[in-house]
Amino acid sequence: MVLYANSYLADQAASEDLIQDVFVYIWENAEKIDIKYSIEAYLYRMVRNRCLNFLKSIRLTDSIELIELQHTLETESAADIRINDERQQKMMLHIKEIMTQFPEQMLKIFELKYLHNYKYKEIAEELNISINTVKTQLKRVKSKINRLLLFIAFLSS
Amino acid sequence: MEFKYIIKKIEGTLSEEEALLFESWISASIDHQNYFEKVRQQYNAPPLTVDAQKGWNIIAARLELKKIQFNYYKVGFAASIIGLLFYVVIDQKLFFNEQVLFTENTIQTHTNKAILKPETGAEYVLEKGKEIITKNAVGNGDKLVYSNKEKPVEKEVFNYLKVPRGGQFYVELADGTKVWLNADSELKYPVRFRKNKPREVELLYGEAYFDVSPSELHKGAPFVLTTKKQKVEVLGTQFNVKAYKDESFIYTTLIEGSVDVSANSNSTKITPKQQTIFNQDLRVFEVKTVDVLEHVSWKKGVFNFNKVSLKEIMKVIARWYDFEVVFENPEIENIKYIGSLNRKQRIEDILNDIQKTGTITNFKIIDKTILLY
Repeated sequence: MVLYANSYLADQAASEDLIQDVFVYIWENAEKIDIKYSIEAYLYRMVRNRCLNFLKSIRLTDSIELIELQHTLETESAADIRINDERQQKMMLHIKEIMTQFPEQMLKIFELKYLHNYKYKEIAEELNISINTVKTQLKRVKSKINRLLLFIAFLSS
Repeated sequence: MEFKYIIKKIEGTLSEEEALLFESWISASIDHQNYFEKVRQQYNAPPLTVDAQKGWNIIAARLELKKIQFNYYKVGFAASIIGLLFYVVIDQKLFFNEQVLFTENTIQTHTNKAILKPETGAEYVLEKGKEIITKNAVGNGDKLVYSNKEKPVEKEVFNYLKVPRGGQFYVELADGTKVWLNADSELKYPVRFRKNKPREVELLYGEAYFDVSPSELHKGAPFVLTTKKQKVEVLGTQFNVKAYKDESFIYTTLIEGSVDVSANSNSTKITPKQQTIFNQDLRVFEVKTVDVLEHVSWKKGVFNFNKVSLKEIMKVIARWYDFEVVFENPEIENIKYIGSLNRKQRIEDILNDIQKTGTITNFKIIDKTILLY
């Protein structure tokens, strides 16, 4: 959840504080809170609202939900816990499909780094390539994904 | 301003017009500049590592500070949030007859294993540390992947994959459909699918989660899963089917897309988050809306339960750890629990935690049998 908040705030300390606030708030207001679906969904909704308030304070909006999509891709966590937006889920599917056509090594590095939390060195060893290659490939894949996200968001807007 | 312009700025893909927008935003405040800098740094940085335990300690300290009145309802509520991090056990009498049970332990006790049985020829045992390569598939102790490059055939050849109690397994079929098999399950499927015919697979018993490769990729061929008398027909979707030998119900839960569930000329269509319960004795369907996570978390080695009886919980534990469970005191069978268990825990620890809730007074493990008192 800290990672989720961080994808909005880009600040680890601030993200940790935010999550702690949310938990303390929930504890203190347990009786007043009416949870319709799951606690997980409720928590994410709450974190998201607070993050959006922060964006608002620095006069930013994210109408194409780029941050949400980035986070989902990088953590492979289910976006449907956080939002019930069919359009977005369709976009995710599109992106994943297109991503399968990325160079194999690039995808492998992305997967190891973001989904399995490997260190640069470990990826280099696993794939038998240099650390620098890992770093450049990661930069490239991230850049590719972001362009893809922007493009698909543009198409479906 | 839109957040996407920040990304475009970092990527260097802003148009002239957009660049003007960006400039006016960033020059408006020092906060804006700080934020942009942080996003830029983060953009190429590795993902964060978070110390969850430390976080919980801070939360606990903050709550302590506020001297909150201890209230059992709140304890129960927070416990369900705290989930797998640490355990909280509450006496039944204080919590509306429902138990809250969470434990954490990292000792690995289960190992995945499966037996692959071709229609003709010898069996393969898929287990830890062993690589298997057959004519059509490669596998190891956790998974088996069929080649999807082969052409469709006129007549199918079947394989049987059996997952014993105590393990779980993953298999990718020749059409690209992904299947997660739970402990004590068996799947029958063709090594290659027929041309322009429905893709037919059978779950002989047990539980499996299907992520079906869309029909568009197979010239519209639907995917049909048969389980005893029930048929599930889909075009490309994710669903879970549970049909254990010791239960007279077949549970079909839809995660995404839509499926047709039919049996004995009864047929029903369900939408995501719905579940059909087919009563094999009465041959009737019931449809209800469920919390999907509760029904699919087993895939990740987690068992989530919300007001589930000790008897049902023990059934799952028996399959996970390959034990028989005997209730020496039948009165406790129907006590309901809320909580979550992780496959990585040791069976002794789980039982200890249940004992702490005061429902069972003692337990004994003799060979492969657990006795509950």
